[in-house]
Amino acid sequence: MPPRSKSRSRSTSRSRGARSKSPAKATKKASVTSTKKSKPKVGLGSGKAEYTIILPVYNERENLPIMIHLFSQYLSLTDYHVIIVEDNSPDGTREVAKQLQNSYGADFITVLEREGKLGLGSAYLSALHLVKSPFVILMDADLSHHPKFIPKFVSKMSESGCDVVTGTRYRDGGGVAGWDTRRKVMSKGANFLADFLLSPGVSDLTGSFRLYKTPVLREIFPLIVSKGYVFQMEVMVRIIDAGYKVEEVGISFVDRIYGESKLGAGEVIGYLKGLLNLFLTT
Amino acid sequence: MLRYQRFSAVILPAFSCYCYFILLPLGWHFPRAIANALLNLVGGGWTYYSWRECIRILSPLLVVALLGIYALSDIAYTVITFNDCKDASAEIETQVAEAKKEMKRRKIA
Repeated sequence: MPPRSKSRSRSTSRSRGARSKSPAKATKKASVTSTKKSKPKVGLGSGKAEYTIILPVYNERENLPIMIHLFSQYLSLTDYHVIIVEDNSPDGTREVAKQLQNSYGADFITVLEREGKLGLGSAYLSALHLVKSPFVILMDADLSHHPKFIPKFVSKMSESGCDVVTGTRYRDGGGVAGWDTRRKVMSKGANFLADFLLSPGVSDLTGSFRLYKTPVLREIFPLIVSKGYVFQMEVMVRIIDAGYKVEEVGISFVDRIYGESKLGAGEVIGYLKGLLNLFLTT
Repeated sequence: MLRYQRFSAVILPAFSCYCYFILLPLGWHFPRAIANALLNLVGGGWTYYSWRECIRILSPLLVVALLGIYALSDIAYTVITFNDCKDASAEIETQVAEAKKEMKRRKIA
């Protein structure tokens, strides 16, 4: 009996190369576990997150820690990754961002440092180079957008199979806190005009709280030429013209900047010029 | 097709029809006819124009006016029914306080 089994084992090991295989398998397993335990890549995250949130900040020293805290309350720290794009704020936002990264881990937060206020579009584009996940979320860092809506975006996308989910203040239970009638009229007036001229099929064109599939972003964002409010409109119009499917989820927009009138005549004229440009070129 | 092209494809033929069928028969006196039609609306003018003639001559202005009425009423309706999230600002303020405590605990400025 023993000689037969010996010969059998010899023939099988020769034909299958089992002996040569198993040591290699063993070392492969060992190297994977040692990477997991000892070396998370510093500064770029572990690359395992499903969703990346790109957060451009400028002078958000007070609000940024609160945003990160809210993320940790409502989102899973392994499924989400945050890229903070910091434009050399004079109030020390960069320091706070680095402290947050040390506290919550480089697997959760990446800080992308830039030399100055180079604009929202370029902030998104620079961050897009670092994105490895299949989904990207863009939102404001001034606490006007609440992270609790992100899971709603995610479930909307998975149940409808769309390419982009946009937060709307005008439908589906969405709304605004802290706006007087004048501000509401201007917002609705601007939206009516944009809707009439561009007929995008989306109720809130200037909204900036959205969930995108990363390939859509990579294709559309380099094409955008507008600035300010019109930037978000151009993104949505180009996405719809390219044939992607967009769904909406109602969000509450909280305006905490009481009394500050950001809508002067210059802004209105800039908006109209941008809208006209979009009307003529898309 | 670009959006302005889609608009032009509707507006230009319609405006051309207006110019050809309504303004052309009036000859070079058409500005006077338009002014007369406008004045007829407010009960004046130097010749009497019937309702049909007034509408025919002023049809582009009528379209713009109807559009304006639609826009104003839509904006008024949506502003009145604009959802006010009163509890959202209270919620965020309590969460700001919680977050500040957490930041103290983690020793973040």
